[in-house]
Parts: sequence; structure tokens; C-alpha cells
Amino acid sequence: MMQSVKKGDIRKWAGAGVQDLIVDLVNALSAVKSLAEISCEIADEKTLIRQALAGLLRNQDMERCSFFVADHEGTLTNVTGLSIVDLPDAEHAWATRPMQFRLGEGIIGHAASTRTMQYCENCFEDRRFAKVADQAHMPGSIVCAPVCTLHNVLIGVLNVSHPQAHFFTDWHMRLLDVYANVLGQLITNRRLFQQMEMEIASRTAELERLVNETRRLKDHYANLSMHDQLTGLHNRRYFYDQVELALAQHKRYGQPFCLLVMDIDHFKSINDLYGHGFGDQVLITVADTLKTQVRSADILVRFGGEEFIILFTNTSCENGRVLAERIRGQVKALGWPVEAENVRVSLSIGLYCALPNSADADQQLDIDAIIHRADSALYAAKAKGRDRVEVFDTSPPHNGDCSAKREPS
Amino acid sequence: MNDPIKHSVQLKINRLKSLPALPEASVKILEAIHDPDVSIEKLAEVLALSPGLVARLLGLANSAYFGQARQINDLRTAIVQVLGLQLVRSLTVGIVLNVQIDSSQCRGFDTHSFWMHSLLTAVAAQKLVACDPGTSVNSSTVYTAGLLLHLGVLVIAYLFPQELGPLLANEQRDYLTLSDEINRQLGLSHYQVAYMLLNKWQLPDVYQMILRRFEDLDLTGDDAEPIHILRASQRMCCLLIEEGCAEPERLEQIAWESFIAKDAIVSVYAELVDKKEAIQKLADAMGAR
Repeated sequence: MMQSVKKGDIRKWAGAGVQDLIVDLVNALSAVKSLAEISCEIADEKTLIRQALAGLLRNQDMERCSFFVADHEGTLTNVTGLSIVDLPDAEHAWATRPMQFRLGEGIIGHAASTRTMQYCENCFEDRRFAKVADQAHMPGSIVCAPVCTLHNVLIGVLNVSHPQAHFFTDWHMRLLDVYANVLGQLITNRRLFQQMEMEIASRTAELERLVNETRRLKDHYANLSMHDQLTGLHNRRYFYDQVELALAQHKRYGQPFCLLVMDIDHFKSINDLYGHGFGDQVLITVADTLKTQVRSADILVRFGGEEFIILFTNTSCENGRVLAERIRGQVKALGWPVEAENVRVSLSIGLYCALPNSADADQQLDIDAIIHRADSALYAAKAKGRDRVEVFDTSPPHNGDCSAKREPS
Repeated sequence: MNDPIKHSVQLKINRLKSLPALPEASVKILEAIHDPDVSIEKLAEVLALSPGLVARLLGLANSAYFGQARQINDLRTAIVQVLGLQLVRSLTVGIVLNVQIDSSQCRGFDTHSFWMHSLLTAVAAQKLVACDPGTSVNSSTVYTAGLLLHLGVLVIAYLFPQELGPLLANEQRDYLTLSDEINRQLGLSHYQVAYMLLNKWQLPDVYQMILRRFEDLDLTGDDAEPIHILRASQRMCCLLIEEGCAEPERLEQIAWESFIAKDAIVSVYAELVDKKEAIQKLADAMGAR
């Protein structure tokens, strides 16, 4: 319910200047509010300070303001300034270099060193301004408010000026004190935020580096665990890992495949005669020869010692045999000169053909059973004098081309 | 433009906290302020009699402190939604009782003439908008803009009474030619001075734009229509104050220059002739003359 204004009340208003107080109060609160609305996430400190100065000029009757930032060496450097005739986005172009003061030097340096607000009411009569080169732009009055962190560490000095001497009132001083405090907190928060951002970025980069390193090591050790370091071929672990796919395709699409188990004949004797280093060379050369005989979809591994396995995918028994013979021939053609001698090796190969309509297919054999059957064929090849290919006989005896019989073990 | 003078004008405007409420409106404003049963509508209507008060209250309502999400364009919203009755009363009483033009310093400034120019321009603009159902211009916005159009004259009379006085001494001077004279004297027209004040007082962009662009020769886009309306209103107002009934050719010229239908201009002008009497009587009843 609105109360009526009595005549006595009206007389009280007269001369009280209450309207100016209201406007001053709203303007002061608006200035502080505009400062409080500046985001501490602004990347550039100068932009933040410029926004703070613009908010002050927009809501107050000062003519010019500037900010000097303190560095670790005690130098105060002017980073930005604004006046009421500047465009909001105008950038001051320094004629030579920005103005600087040492701590304690001039009114700005004094405000910084004492951490107390300084007010020069009449610059025209103040000896500190006697040597100002640009007398035309010399202020009539100036207030320098130190801006500090919460722990009273100096950030810089906020300066506001007016061409008129004795311009600033207690009201201005109190507002500037509050404004400088809030600005100090804002700059502190921005710096902490930037530090935090940099810390996060640094830690994120470190984490990414560690993740990449971990991934690289994982890949490296996974690679190591799947590869035979001597020959560069995949190893037994890889074989079991990959062979499931070939088996699945065989079962699902009825694709035939051939499994060759190969063993270098008399390899132990080679090691004994020529040394393990020579034996290793033999293994490497044989492995390289085998590599030339497989396609990308086939699986070639060093299964252990001098034993190798190849799984030829989507390959008929006839083709498997041709391939096995070719491999045997190529290995037999290899030679290693040792002094006057040319050392040669041979390969015994056991071949198992997985055919879609065979009796084995109905049994849904697993890989171990298949390897065991190829091994049986290899055993047969060894038993029949080595350096030969034997095919495990999966068909009934009366209609099988593949006539190898497994010797009793 | 004379930059030092502009700078000095800017500095003075910077310090300006309020403008005087004119005698023509003061009595009525005080009556309304003291009436405990006054409605918001009535109060806003009475306060609108003072362009300076309108500018001050709208500026405060749009200040950062009140943090309005959107701009407050009209006085009623400013009172009801932002400032509140108590603050408006305190501020208004303070301004009405304490802020006055020093008439001894600015002899040529006739508050009655200023008031008539402001009010008639505002009313004319509002009526022109009402004549055009297809317009996108807001009626109350254009009324307030009309009220604020000559605010620069009041600012200069208040801040630079000695500079303005001689310019107003010429009785043949109307508000159309006055702008050129002020420009010659200060390096700024009274529209630019008003723009500086509205900008400092943070009035809504629409009012700032109208004052800033009022003298532009090439108006385009959305800015053009309200300014054309206000230019026509201003010319009709000057014609009415100087001559009363106008020759059809003069009205046709106004219509042609402002891209407004001649019928609308003629019809609004006829209404203004009637309104002029009413405003005149109102001023007399208030004891202004």
C-alpha cells in the first residue's frame, strides 16, 4: 500500500539531492554488477581488464581509465586504457612503447608499493606531474587504486582520471575501492582458471601420452606374443587365435582348407654339426621361403622348433598337395655354403584336407584333432624316408586317392 | 566536427544525473505522486509529460543493476516491473523539486514551447502509426521517441544556457532551423547531444538509434520507418505551432518527404489542430502561463 507524501516530506526533499543519490547508487551498483558479470574464463587477461574498464566508464562519470600490470621485477606496465570518446572496441596504438613505472615511482608506483589508494586532487599543481611530457592530455585529477589478490599480492594499478581538478568525491573513492577489490578477485580467478586449464591440458596430454605408450607397449607385446622373433613368422598363439575363423568359415560356408604340418629333416644334426647360429640361419631361410608361398588369407606359423604349419584357406585337397610339393621342392633347392661344403635340408610334410562332405566334417572336428591328423601324416612321411608329402587319408580305403596310412605310433 | 567541444559536451553529459522537469508538467506530476490512490496507468501518463523524467526513469530501468533480460521500452513497464512505485516517487519528487533550468542564464529558452514541441511530436507520431495498420512500428515506442526527440535542446539549455540563449533569441527560429544553429555553435546537433545522453543513460537501443540516425540522408531497413514517421511528426508540429491551419501543399510536401500517405498526414494534422487547443488549455490550467 503506497503511503501519501505529506507537505512536510516534500519540503524535506527540496535541496536534499536525493535524486542524485539514487542515481549514484544505481550507477555504482550497475558498475559492480557489470564487473561481476565478466567471465573469469576469458583467455586473454587484457580483454578481461578492458571489459572491466568499459563497465566502469559506462556506469560512471569518469573520463579516462587505464590499467598497469605489475611484473615479478617490480615494473608496472600499461596494458590497456579507455576514454569516454573511445569506441568500445577501439585499440590504443602505442606511439613508441607502453608507459612503465617502477614500484614507488610516481603516483601509480606509490599506490602499488603502499597498497593504498592514491588521489591527486589537482595534477596541475602537483610536482609529480611537472615533468609530464604531454601536458595537453594531463588529467586534472587522478585516482590510482592498487589491485591485489585475496592474499594481498599486487596484480596492478587501476587508474581513473578526469580533466577537471577536484573531480572525485568520497562516493567515487568508495566505489573504486570496491571495484578494485572485485577486479582483483576477478583477475585472480582468471589466472587460477588459466592455470587449472593449463594443468588439465598438461595432465591430459600426459595421460594421452601414457595411454599411447601403453597402447604401443600392448601392441608391441601382443605382437611379441604372436610372433616368433627369430623368423618373423607368427607363432603357435597366433595360429590358435586365427584358425578359429578359418574353421568357422569351413563349417558355415563349406569351404575346404588344407593344413600342412612341416618339419625340417635331421635338424638336430645340423645344429650339432654346424652350431645353433647356423641352425637359426636355416630356420630363417626356410621361413622366408614359406612366406613366398602363402596368400594373405592363409595362415603360416612357426609351430615350434623346426616345425612349421600352413593352413591354406579355401583350397582343395588336390591344390593342397600341389602347394605342399612345391614347398618341399623349394626348400630342397636351398643351400648354405659352409667352407667347401654346401649344406642342404629337406622337409617332411603331413597334409590334412578338410573337405565339406567328408566323414570328418560330420564329426565337427576341433583344431587339435585336425593338427593331430596332419601330424599323423607327417609321422607317416618321416616313416617313409622323409623329404616327402603325405596326405592324411580321410576317405574310406576303397575310393581314396589320398592313400597314406597312419603308422601305429 | 569540433572535437574539443564535443569532448567537453561529452564530459558534461557524463556527469548529468537528471534533467529538469518542466513547469508545465511539475504541478501535475507532484499531484499524481502524492495521490495514494493514483493508478499506475495514470502515473505513467502524467510522468510522460516530462521528457527528462521519461529518459531518466527508462535509463534507470535499463541499467545493469536491475539486470533486465530484455530492454524496457515503455514507462509503465519500467515502473511496474523494474523500479517500483516507491523509487519512482522518491526520484521524481527529488527531480521536480531540485532540478531546474537557470532561466536567467538561458533567457531564450521557453519551456512551454519545448513542452509543446515534445508532446505534439509524440502525439502526431502515435496517430500516424495508428493510421497504418500494416506498420511494424510500435505505437508506444514511437510516442516515447517523439517525446525524447528534442531532449537535446533541454540538455543544452541546462548545461550550456549561455550558448543556447542567443540562438533562441531569434523569434523566427523554429526547432527545425535551431538544429543547424546549435550545430554551428557546438559542433553537434541537438539530436547528437540527445543521443549522447540516451547512450550514457543506457536507454533502449531503439531510442538511441532514432536520435543517432535522425539526420541521416540515406535511411534503409528497419531503422527508416520510425524515423520517417518522427520527421513527419516534427514538421507537422512545427507547422502547427507556427501557422495553425496549413496549406495542403505543405502537408503534401511532408507526405512526399517522409514516404507517408498524404491522406494520413492530412487526417493526423486535422486532429493535431484540435489537440493543440486541448494541450494549450492544459498548460494554462496548470498555471504555466
